[in-house]
Amino acid sequence: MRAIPIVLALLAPAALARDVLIRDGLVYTGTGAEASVASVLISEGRIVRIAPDIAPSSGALVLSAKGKVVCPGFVDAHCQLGLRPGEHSETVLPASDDTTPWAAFRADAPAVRASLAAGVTTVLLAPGAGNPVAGPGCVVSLSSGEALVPAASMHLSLSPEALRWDRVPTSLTGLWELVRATLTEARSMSGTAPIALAVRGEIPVQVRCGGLVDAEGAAGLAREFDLRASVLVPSSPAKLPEALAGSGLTALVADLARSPLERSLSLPARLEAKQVPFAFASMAGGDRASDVRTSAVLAVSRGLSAEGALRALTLGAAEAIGAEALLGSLEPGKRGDLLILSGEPTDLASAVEVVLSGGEVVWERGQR
Amino acid sequence: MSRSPSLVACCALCALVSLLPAARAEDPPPPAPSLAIVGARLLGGAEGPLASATVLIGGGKILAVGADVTVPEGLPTIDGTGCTVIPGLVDAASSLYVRPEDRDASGGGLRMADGLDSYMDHADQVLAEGVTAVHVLPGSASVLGGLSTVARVSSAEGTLELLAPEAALRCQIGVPTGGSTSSLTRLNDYASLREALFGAREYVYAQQRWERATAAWKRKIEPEGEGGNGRGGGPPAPRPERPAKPEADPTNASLARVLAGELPLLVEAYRVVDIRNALSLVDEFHVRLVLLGCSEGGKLAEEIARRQVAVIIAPVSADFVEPSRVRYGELSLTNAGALERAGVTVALAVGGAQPLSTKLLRASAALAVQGGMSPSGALAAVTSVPARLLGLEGRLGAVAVGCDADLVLVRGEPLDPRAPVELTLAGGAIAYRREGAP
Repeated sequence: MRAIPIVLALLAPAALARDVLIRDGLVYTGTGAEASVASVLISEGRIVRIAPDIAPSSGALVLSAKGKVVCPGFVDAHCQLGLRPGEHSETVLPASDDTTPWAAFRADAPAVRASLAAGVTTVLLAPGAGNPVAGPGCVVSLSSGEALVPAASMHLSLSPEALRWDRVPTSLTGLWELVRATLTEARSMSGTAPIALAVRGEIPVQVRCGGLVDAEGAAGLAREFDLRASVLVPSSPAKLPEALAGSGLTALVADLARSPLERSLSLPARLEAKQVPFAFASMAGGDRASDVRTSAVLAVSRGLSAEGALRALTLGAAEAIGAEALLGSLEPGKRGDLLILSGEPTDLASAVEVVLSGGEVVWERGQR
Repeated sequence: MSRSPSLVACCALCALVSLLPAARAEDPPPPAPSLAIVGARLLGGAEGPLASATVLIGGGKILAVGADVTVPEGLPTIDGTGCTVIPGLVDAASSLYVRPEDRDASGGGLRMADGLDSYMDHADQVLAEGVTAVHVLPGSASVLGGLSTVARVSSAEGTLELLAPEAALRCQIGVPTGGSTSSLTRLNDYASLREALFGAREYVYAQQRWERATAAWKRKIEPEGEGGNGRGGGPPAPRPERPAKPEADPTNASLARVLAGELPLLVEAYRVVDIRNALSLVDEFHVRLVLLGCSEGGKLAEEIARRQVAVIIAPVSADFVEPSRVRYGELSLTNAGALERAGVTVALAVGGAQPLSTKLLRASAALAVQGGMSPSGALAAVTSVPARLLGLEGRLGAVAVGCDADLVLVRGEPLDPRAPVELTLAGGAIAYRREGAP
């Protein structure tokens, strides 16, 4: 399993996939429903049934989860996993609305494997913040390297990181002008270009922000162009929940462990209190693996509810990246992306024992 | 002594050490107790866990610990019912009190103790997470980093208590300074380190030769005992010249202490090849080696255990570090557990580049447990083990009579970051108290 070439993964015959039954685990569906002891049946890579007692079909792989916890695979709402440093952004053209980071993704990067071992089954592979119109993001299955949704989101950057001395825009004013012009032009486009899908509200827009003023600007932009937007503000300004309350925007919470300021650690709890939807985004890349779960637990230590934390790691993140019909919760019809854990997902000491993706065991504890 | 990080063994030893001074007759009478904690579960005590313990504190020290200790009447008492009391946590690789511009400061003669800024206002947040002592290391910009220091975390701005002003000599092998590394730099690092140790050995020999020559010189110039009072006989012999003192050098002076076994040699290394080279320094120079970083140490667990080399795992997770500062090789949560099972003495440190990263010490320990380390081993790895490695056994890292009263009262599992710290005592004083705490 270590390094499946992408082509092979795509061609893997569906006939090989056998039914999988995970029995008697304490199942968190990720929808917010209370956990209960149940079995989960997966067929053809999709969840078909969740019920207290399911008899295994012949030839099915049966995994006992008795005394263990079963939950959806974690979804990282924004990262650059599998990309080499410096490959996040193509910055020559400021509006690169067709340049996808997917082209540079390496499924065999050690950080990709480490993320999978931490229970992250799916990520939104995002372009960097170096361009005002940064391009589409891609929903990737970490185990197979498969692009589940090739153009899942459109990425804008209102952050000063998008300004460069060697091309326009060089100022925030110019940046805003460019973003507005691109979105206005996209309104009159009819095809399936990612930017056109974004202004038609068919895919979400992620807006990278430097500070609170950019987040407020993003809220205005979302109203003006009727976007389904989320904001990623790595600086975690203290008043972010107030700025986003009632705006309809989703907050992407950047990795909390790297800079554990109290205002960052408490951000998810304060977003929850203001009923702002949020998801965790590791911003991992290069050598650094994604462990959104650590961020979620740290947020719980500052008052976020355990249910809120699990939701933000699963269905909340799937909603933020527009993939909620495909993954993010344990419900019939969704991908068989799930974890068997030794204990509660929000207990940092509980270990990920088995990772299933697309109904296949892709990682087991004890495996390097 | 067993090198296994067994809590019981460490605590038993602490108890033994703490009994020694009590036996001496000239010691001043013990200070009067000023505070008691009652009714809390005790972990990290001298006699193993207790379901409900009383701890008496006075004069900044722990005066009594046990299930049936009597609390003097009228003594201020904290009711720890429903909580767990543990030793104050020690971050074995911290940059608390280090200003950002000093983060990379390094050099053989450097003393980290000279560079701590006690006015940085992060201490309160760290105390709120139960960390009462930090091992602060120089940077890794050069092969020889300098002398690390251990400081108590203080809630009073501007005060800084150094518990071990010079705790270890820090060096590195294969840690890139410019973001990338190559086999050439790793070889260079190792070669420079060996050269430095060779040089220090010569420095020691030169010192010893000088001492011998000086002693001989003193014998020559001192008047002979009986018989000759120097007046009779022939002309006086010319006065012999005093041997020239070899040049003193702080780097070599520190290395000499390492060679004498007085200071541990702390070698930051991550990859298998670098760890192996560090281990060979034990064979060649018989230094007391402590490995720092050691992300691929799990692959060499047997070799590390055989040489009785201790390890400070830092970081436990790359989550805690700014991206791409160091190439960690394969960094896995299973590392700590693999080393523990092989019998290696393991300390856990956050290893974060920011002063505030030390707040994540309990999260680091919980992640090590997630990766397969035993919960008792993880607790020892942030209390008694770093205390021992840094030469502060009997003072830090245990809830035992005679130890400093650095104590943490936690509501819940002590290493679970979700469990709130109710109270932190540092040096016997209440350094943090949660709102509404008992």
